[in-house]
Amino acid sequence: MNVSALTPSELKLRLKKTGIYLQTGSFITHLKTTIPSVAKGIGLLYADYPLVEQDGFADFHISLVHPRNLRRWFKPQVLFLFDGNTIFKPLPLDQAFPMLEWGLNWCVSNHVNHCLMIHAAVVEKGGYAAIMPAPPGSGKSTLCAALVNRGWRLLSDELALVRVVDGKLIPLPRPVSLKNESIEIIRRYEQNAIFSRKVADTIKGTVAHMKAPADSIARATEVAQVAWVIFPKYQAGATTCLETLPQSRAFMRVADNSFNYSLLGLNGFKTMASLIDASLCYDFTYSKLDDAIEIFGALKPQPSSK
Amino acid sequence: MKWQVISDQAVNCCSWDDELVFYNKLSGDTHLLGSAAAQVLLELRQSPLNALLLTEALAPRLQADNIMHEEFSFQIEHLLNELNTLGLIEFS
Repeated sequence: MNVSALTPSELKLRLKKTGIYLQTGSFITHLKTTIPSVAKGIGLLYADYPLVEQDGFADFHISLVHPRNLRRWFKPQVLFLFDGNTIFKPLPLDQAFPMLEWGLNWCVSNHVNHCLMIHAAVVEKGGYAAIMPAPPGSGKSTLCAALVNRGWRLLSDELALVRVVDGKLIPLPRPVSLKNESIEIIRRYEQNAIFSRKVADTIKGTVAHMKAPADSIARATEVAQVAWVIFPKYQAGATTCLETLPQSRAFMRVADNSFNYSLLGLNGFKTMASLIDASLCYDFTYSKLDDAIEIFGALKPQPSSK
Repeated sequence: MKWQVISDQAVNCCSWDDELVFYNKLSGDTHLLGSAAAQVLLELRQSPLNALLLTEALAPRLQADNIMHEEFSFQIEHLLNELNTLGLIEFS
């Protein structure tokens, strides 16, 4: 059963009473909340995600609650709890849904160490995946949102999960986080895209989340083979440019963007080495999304890639 | 005095083109080595050598035409010291 099988009031009630067991890719999250904006966001952006019916096991147990102080009434706030413990400082109540998304990222990036985790968007087409590592503000999520609205499968807009045992990429298709000007850029680029309400004045500026394509969610257990590592950079007015990057340099830069490369030790090195070995590596500068889509459409994997 | 690659380290490297990415299992650090340093390591992996013999082995491949032998020898000594500091090579 998917989230969409519940009416808004049923979803709200279940989130309040027992919580829901939400499957996102390989992970099950037990989520409880009484906050209406979170229930609304779940109903809108997670409609196509499976609900796991047998309650019990979950990878992450989280809840979003009101702090038990005067802030319940005066400038209300929201708290993110993991296993019943406070993880972050409270945020204004208006930011409850973005806080859920950030919290879910935190859950994965702090607990999933059977994978090499890279701060990167990942998209796939024709059996070959592109990893796009980049710091915030580089246009990674904007490019990712455009690509998944033009036929690429979304694996993640935030976390590349490279399985240590075989180097395959585990999908984690969740809503794409967009901020500031990127929100309207993607709204104009794909008018059928579904967005959460814009939330202003967050630590990242104004943010909104775009629903992941239904096909990407349906294929959320289908692992992918990496073929390209591409470092995107949005630069206003720039000519689109895909420039080959030596693999050794790419190795070091991907390691810099990894959450747990050092933690994994020799396994991290070996996983990264296999990943880079299997990839063609590029720096990519763009200013126009259509040009970027065209360049991505012309990418060819290494002849030896399987 | 001969230099050698610390044996336990030998397997933890990858090379692409003429550069080497080397993982130091003892420190947990990863190093990107340029062409010259990579050549020194690859030569020492084959057999331990002193600085003089290493310089002679590498000169045909690495010594630029406009560099005097003494200067090249100094560069190799400098690289050996750096690789030693990084914990990648040791005296045999």
